[in-house]
This record gives sequence, structure tokens and C-alpha cells, in this order.
Amino acid sequence: MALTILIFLLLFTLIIGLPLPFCLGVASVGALLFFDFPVPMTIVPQRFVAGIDSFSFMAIPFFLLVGDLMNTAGITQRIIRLSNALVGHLPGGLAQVNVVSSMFFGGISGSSSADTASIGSILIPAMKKEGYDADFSVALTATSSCCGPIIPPSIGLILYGVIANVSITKLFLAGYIPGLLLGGSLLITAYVISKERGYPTHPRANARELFEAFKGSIFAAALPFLIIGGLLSGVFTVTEAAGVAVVYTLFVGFFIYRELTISGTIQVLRNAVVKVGTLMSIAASALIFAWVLTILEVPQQLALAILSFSDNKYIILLMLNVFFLFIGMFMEPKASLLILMPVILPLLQPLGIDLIHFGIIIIFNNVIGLITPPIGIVLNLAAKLGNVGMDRASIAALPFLGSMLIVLVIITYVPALVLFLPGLL
Amino acid sequence: MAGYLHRVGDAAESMIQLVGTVLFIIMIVSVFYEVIMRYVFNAPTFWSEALARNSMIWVVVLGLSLGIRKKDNIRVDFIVLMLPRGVQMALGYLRIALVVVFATVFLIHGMRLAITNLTQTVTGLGIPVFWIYICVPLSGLCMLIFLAEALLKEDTSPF
Repeated sequence: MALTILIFLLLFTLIIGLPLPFCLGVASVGALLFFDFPVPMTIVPQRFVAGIDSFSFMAIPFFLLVGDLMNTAGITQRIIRLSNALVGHLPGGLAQVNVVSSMFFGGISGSSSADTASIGSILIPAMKKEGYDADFSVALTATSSCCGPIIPPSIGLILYGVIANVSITKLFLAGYIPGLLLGGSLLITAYVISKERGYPTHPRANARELFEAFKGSIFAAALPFLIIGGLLSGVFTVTEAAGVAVVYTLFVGFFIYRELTISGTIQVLRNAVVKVGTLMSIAASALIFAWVLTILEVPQQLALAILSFSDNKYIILLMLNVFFLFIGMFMEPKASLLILMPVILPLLQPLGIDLIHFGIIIIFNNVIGLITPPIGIVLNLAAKLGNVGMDRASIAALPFLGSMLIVLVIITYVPALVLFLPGLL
Repeated sequence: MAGYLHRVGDAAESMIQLVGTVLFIIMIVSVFYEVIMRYVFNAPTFWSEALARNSMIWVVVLGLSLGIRKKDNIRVDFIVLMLPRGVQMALGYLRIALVVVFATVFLIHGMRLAITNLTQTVTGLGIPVFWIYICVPLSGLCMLIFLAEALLKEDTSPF
């Protein structure tokens, strides 16, 4: 009975458009009322607070803040200029610039919508002006933003690490190679399409221009490498690295680029309070929900059911991939991650699936959900920026989607690509 | 009445923004301070992590309630947007009712939780756990204020 109530309330509240933290909270409260044994309702606020009370989680507000501060400090333009000097001369110059900028951005901030909004609002109009088709520009901007959550820092990987109780440092290190593979596959796809359609190229940057572009952006472009270095050396925890990144960004913004102001920074912080509150409340209420599921012994029973169907690791991985891709079409990625992970985790260890490897697979599935209709949050955002209908944007995204799926298959069945860097620790 | 509630809502919003921003700054400063103390002076503190974590609890719990007023929440709206106008309005009232339930649990049971933890102290900070949990009923109260404000304005658009 309690389980029926739990699932019904979750689906119903999701459909009527209730904000996610309340969907999960209301469903849990409803289920608790129908438990076979009395449970004090104080468990709800208590679990909610316990869900937030994690030092690892603190990396999330910090990396969100770094992304917002970078935007305010005019870093986006500098990164685009650097990318242009590096790859602007290739066929489809601005298309390549778009992907490379997103990869740099992915190494700085943890959110793909921030990436789409900041890079897209500059590059989509610029691409249209140079004669790129609008739907191509929109699809490319959206898909290249998907590098963001895979190339660390990544909010999704932090959430996964806390739920699965694995080292976030190792997860971050595991994300670099798949992230670069994804970026590389998008570069190639954009190259082929641009060549075919004869999209324009920019003149190759000479040594002086390249030097100027480097000089202008060195402090921003160095941040991803500082983060990798700090993690690989094992000196910093992810949260400490995030805290240092905030202070570093403030320092660069105030004293080197001099584009941050006190009032601008306070405005960014004020917005961050609401953003952090709504985002992390999803995690906290998902943990109440997961707790209720565990009490009802759902994960164990589901694991038994699936294992009786097949205990071949590769078949289960394929099934999980297909399942998550499907769910990703209809659900907000972070929410599906938070709700489904606790249910799936007990399945992984008996099958000998590495939790770090699985984390990267899941986040990869999640980002594909960002660009698949009908929800596809990031594709929607890019389509609005480029004034293109979601239908045309979805069709234009198909070749990129194809290359993403190829990379997903590779990283699923060649775990060494994912596990090499964390193995160095 | 609507004007009065609007002023109360404004006051609650400024309070949350002020407290949230200050605590956010405390989070950054205490994590950075700990990094410096540990790696430069080799003298780790025992309180900075606890201070940062508990500040974050307040920021998140209060930030959630402000998300209602700012209509800045992650939700699925594509199904609702396909429905006729009248049904959308009705679902708007239903959403408000459901969040009222959630907010009431936060207010009443959060208060109970805070009171039962009057004597327990937070490790590393030495203050009663009461002062951590009290943000929950406070957040529930703010949610109710924001919801009442929206109801009086007959504003049932998704929040």
C-alpha cells in the first residue's frame, strides 16, 4: 500500500508540474502515512537536513558560483577568443570554436545550461551571421554543452559520488578521457558537416595573435588545469579544490581582469542562494524518498528480479543504458539520477560492475537526456536562443546524437578508458 | 490584506537573502581558511568544516522557500502547458495545496525536531543542534507566507 501511494504520488505530482523537491517530499510524506508500523513524521525534516549535511556536497554551490562569477567577470569572451585562435582556421571555424569553448567551460563550471546560455548567446548569432544554418548552430551549441557535465567539475558526478559513496576525486579523474572523447567526436562530426555544406573558415591566427589570445585568457584557461593538478596530486579534496577555485576566480575577476565589482559579486551571491536552495533541495528530498524505498525493500527486490532475468554484466549494462536513455527523454536528469540510483546500486556489486565506471556511464546517459525531445532542457534553451523550433533543432541534433551514442558504447565496453586516470592515484 | 501580505513577503525575502548571502560567504571563507591552515601552517582546525556544513544547511533550507516566491524551481511543465486554461488554473490551486502540506510538515515537525534537540550540541561548534534544525520550521513558515501571498494575488502560475 505504502509503495503504491509513493509511486502514484510521485508520478502524479511530476505530471501536474510541482517543483521537484516538493514532488519527492509530498510522495514520501504520503507513503509514511500508510506505513504498516508508525513512523514519526519528524523523520522528514531530519532526513532532509541529514541529506544536505555532507562536506562533499559543498563542492556543488562552490562550482555553481565559479561558473556564475566567470560569466560576470567577462571570461566567456576571452575563452571564445582563445578557442578561435586555436581552431578557427579549420573547416567550419566557428563550429569548432563552439565545441572547444564548451570544453574549456566544462573544465571550469559544473553546469551545462550555464554553458549553453553564455556561449550560445554569443556564438549562435555570430554563426548565423557567417551563414551557418540556424538549426545546425543551435544543435551544435546544445550538444557541445554536454561536455560540461562530463569534463569535471561536474555537479552530476558529485551527486552520484555522494549517493554511491565513492571517491568524488576518482570520479572526476575518470571523467576527463570520456569528456575529451565526446568533444573530439563532436569536432569530427562538425568538421564533416561543415566541409559538406561549405561553412566558412577563419584565417589561421599568426603567432602574435595566438600569443595575445593566450595572454588575455591565461588566468581563466588555467583553472581547469589547476583543478586537475590539485586532484591528481591528491592534495585537495574536491570540496577544497572548489573553495580554492571560488577564491581564485574572485581574485582574477577583481584584480587581474578588473571586471568584477563588489555589488556585482553580491548580486551573483544573492542569486546563488536561491539556485543552491532549489537544486540541493532536490538532492535532500530525493534522499528522503530513497530512504522510504529502502525501508520498503524495493532495491533488494528489484535487484533479485533483474538478476533472475540475466546475470550477464554486459547485457545488464546494455539494458540499463537503454532504460536511462528512455527515462532521460522525459525526466530532468539530476532527478532521475537521484531517484533511480539508490534502486540500482545494490544490483551493481554482485555483477562486478565498477562503481566509478558506472558513474561515468550514468552521467553520460544523463547528458544525452539534455538534448533529446520532448524535455531536452539544454536543446530547448539553445533553440530559444537561436529562434528555431524544437522540432527542427531535434532533427539537426541527430548526427551529433549519433556520435554521442558511439562514444557511450565505447566507454561502456572499454572500461579501461574510464578507469585509467583514477587508477593513477 | 494583499498589500499587507506583500510587505511581509518582501520582509521575509530580504531576511532570507541577507542571511543566505552572509552564510554563503562564511562557507567560502571557512573552507579556504581551513585549506590555508592545513596545507600552509599544518595546523588543521576542528570547527571550520562544521561551520561550513551547517551554514550550507541554512542556505539550502531557506533558499528552497525563496524559490517559491522567485518561481525559480526545476519542474516538468510541458504536460501542463498542453492542457486547457481552466484545467491549468485548477492544477495551480492543487499545487499550492500540496506545497502547503509540505510546508506544514516542515513547520510543525521541524519545530518538534528542533525542540527535542535543545540539549544536544553540534560537534565542533558547541552550540545546541536546535540552532541548526530551527531553519526548517522557519523555512516552512516563509513558504506559507509566500503561498498565501500568491493565493491572494490569485497567482497560480507554476512556481
